[in-house]
Amino acid sequence: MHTPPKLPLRIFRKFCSDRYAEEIEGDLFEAYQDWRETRSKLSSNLLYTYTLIRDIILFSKEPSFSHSIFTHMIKHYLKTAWRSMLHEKSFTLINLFGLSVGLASSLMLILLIIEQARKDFDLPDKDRIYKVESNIGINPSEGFLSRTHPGVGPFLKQVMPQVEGYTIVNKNERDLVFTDDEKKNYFTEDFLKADSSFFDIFPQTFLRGNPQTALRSFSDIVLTESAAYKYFGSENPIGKEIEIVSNRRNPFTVSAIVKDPPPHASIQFNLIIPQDIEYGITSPGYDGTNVYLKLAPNTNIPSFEKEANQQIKSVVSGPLMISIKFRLKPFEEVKYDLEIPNDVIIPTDKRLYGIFTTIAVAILLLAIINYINLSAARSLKRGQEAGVRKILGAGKGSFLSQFLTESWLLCLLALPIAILLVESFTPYFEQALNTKLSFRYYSDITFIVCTIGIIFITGLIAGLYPALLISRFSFNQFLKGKISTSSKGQLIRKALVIFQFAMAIILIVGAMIVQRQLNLFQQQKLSYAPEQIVVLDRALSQNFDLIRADVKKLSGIEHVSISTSPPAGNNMRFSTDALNLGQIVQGHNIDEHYAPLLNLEFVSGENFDPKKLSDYTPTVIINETMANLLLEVNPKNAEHPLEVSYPFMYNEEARIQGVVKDFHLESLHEKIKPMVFFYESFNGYNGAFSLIKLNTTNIQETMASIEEVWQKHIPTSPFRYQFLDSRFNNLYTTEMRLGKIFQIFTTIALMVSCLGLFGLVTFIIQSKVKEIAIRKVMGAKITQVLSIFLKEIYWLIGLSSLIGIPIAYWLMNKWLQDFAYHTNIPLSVTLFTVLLMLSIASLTVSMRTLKTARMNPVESLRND
Amino acid sequence: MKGDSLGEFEELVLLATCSLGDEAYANTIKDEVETHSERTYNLSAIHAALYRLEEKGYLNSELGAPTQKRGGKRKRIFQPTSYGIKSLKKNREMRESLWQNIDLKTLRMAD
Repeated sequence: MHTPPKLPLRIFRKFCSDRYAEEIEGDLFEAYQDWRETRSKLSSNLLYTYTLIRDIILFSKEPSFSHSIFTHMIKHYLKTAWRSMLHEKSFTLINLFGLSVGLASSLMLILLIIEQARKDFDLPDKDRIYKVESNIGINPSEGFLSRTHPGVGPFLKQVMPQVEGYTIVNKNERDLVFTDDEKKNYFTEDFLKADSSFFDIFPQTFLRGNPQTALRSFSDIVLTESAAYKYFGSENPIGKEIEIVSNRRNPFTVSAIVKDPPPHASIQFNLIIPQDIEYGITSPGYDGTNVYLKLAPNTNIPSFEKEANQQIKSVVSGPLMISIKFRLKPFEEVKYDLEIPNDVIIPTDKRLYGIFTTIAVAILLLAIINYINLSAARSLKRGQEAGVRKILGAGKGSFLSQFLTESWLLCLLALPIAILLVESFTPYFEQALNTKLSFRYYSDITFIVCTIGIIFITGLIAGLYPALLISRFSFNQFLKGKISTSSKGQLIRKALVIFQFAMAIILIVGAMIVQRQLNLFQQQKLSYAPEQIVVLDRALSQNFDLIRADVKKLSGIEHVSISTSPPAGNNMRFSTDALNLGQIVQGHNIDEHYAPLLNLEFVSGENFDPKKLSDYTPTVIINETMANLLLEVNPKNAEHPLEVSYPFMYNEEARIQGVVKDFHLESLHEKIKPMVFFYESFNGYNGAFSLIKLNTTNIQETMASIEEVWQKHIPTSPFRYQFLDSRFNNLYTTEMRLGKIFQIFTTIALMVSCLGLFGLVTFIIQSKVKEIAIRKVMGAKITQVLSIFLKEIYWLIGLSSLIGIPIAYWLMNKWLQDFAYHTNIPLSVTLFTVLLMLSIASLTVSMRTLKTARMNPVESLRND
Repeated sequence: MKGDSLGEFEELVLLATCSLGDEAYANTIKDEVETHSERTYNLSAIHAALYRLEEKGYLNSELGAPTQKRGGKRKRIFQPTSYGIKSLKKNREMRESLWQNIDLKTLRMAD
């Protein structure tokens, strides 16, 4: 006799149904004896075990009550959840839609947050990197600036032991020029100007060359991989020559290739050329540069700043340098700092993320509220089912499990839809937020965990209330069928609806105000038509007078002006407070065509006239703000302050020959500054913009002939132009993005809350079918029935307006404060919002109610 | 009912049970099916088929005497019910009548 293996047999005896256990065991024992005759022991044992396991699976015991009630009940809950979902298809769809949208927006949110968290995650010691900012004491109103004396870096490294390293870096756009077959091709690229210390603080991956030698010579140039590929294809670019438009260091030689900065890096660039300024800290003037320091761990910043300021003050010379106060700003803050202009690191608008977060959470909340309201109403309708459950002994816990299972199931169903939504809307959000989402989320564990977390929490919040509501009834209440008309919990549900409406109102008011402000930007009262004015990009040339003359000769040209300061840019020639007026004064160089081209209105005096200008008494034009400032401060104590001469810019005194009405040169974020306009004929070697006012419908041809003139006189610089209206629009990209986001989300939110309202009204009506029927029997008209429901909804909307509108006012006022020129929040906006809400709600209610109200009362009454 | 019809493997098992008379229990049925169908089956598959057949009413069973070769366990002897035999016959007749309709040319294709 061979003994079969014991362990499988023991398991078999435990799990196999008693009905079959003996005979199967016998059969197998018998078969085992035969197998042992013909097979090896191992193979027989394996076969025996395998067969036993299959038998266990086939003939396992019926699960006994005690140890598998859990799985049993889960199965049951899933089954009832599924059934009730199928039973009320329209509400399931409403819920599914709402939850998908809510989930989708919160998934987008997680994506953005992870994206932010990943920003510069691979930059070593980023908590020890600081940017040096300086505040020029004689110009305190200008605030702290990013560009500072380049000597600060080396000096602090020398005297302060805490400084581990520094780098001096600037960033700007430059044009590369490649000549092939006599034709010049221009390419604009993002340039960094840095020295080799840049790679110590912001390491880059070198594909060719090395960080030590890459920026050694003045004409070295480092390319990113993609730039190298763009200009040299697959050839080895090292040693190749590159020419930069009007640069005295030409030609540059490629010395190294680095990997493209990853999208999550704050510092983006295409090419790096060496820094060429080597000012010692003792020089009284400077070319502003960005200085970054890397400090030793655990440096105390306030005391470091204090000591650094003292050390610098002890060595510098000149009133300007002595007045400067320095401070440090951590790299992590620089990334989000919109206040202080910074050309190396383009800051991200944290506020935009804040707004986005708020709205995404709001939409998720709306969806959850929808779910709560609908499922609470539905569960009341399913009162009898709950009553039977209660009689069978279901307690609070079991109701909880039932409703949580239902809501989790729905959330799980909503997830794939949400992911689909996220996938299809990502491009729009990328556009709206101006960031590329580089992150592959589907394989990321954080994202998956967050998603599961959100589903869990959403399901929990959504399922909790209906469960608690139901478990509060006693079973005879259920069986008497009084549940569906019960007023229990109605207060909470109404409060939730009010909350929902209030949120919708806030969003609508917000969207409208953002739109109004955008309209204000776009329709700001300009004295000129911006869509007719072309601005040619700045170039350095001595042929501007030729350009001006030749372009003027073309047909369809009204005015040509050469100036340092076209509107819609920060191109002021200089800003100073040489007169000690206590305010920064902007200086602009213009020619005699500037004022007529921009249609400037003279309050007094007149425009420059080149024939009348004398070399002995220079004259200027000022704007009204400047005139008022002069009148107010009266620095010379003159009887008629506008009739005396002032040393506006140079030491030379200049007479005011005209005052123009204020006009906007900068964005509406800024107040109009006091301005002084100097005459410049632009017939020397100059850097300037050309403004051309067109008077033609054939823009394409005119632009082509302007380009011909440009090529003839300034062949060394690229011909690039922009219409003034798009220049203005560029100033407001953030606001436009905000407007877009608001529009999308407001629409979604409105849709979700309308669906919620629709569902809720449906349930209210269902529970009042008999009431309506009896009213009709007693002689009520359809309009009277309608008004019962409408009255209730209007109440809710009235209350939510009372809550929502003040909040919206407060929030939008806060937002508007950021603009020097901002729109108001007129009463019409609020009235419109409330009316909109009322009409949407009325429409929804009437749509649902009419059907029931029209029904023959017999239909609904005879069922009893 | 669809679920109660006789499956192909079940038919094999049922036929083997009929041919074995008083000695029809899982192990012998398995041997019988394997000899005739020229392939092997796992014993548990035979078990499953037998109990299913019994549930559907094609088979009856009773417990036999324990033997030493079975480790002192009793065996379950299966016997076909009249319903089972009837079903087998019906299946056979149906096949026969289908066979009648095949012409010679088709039959010779496999020769």
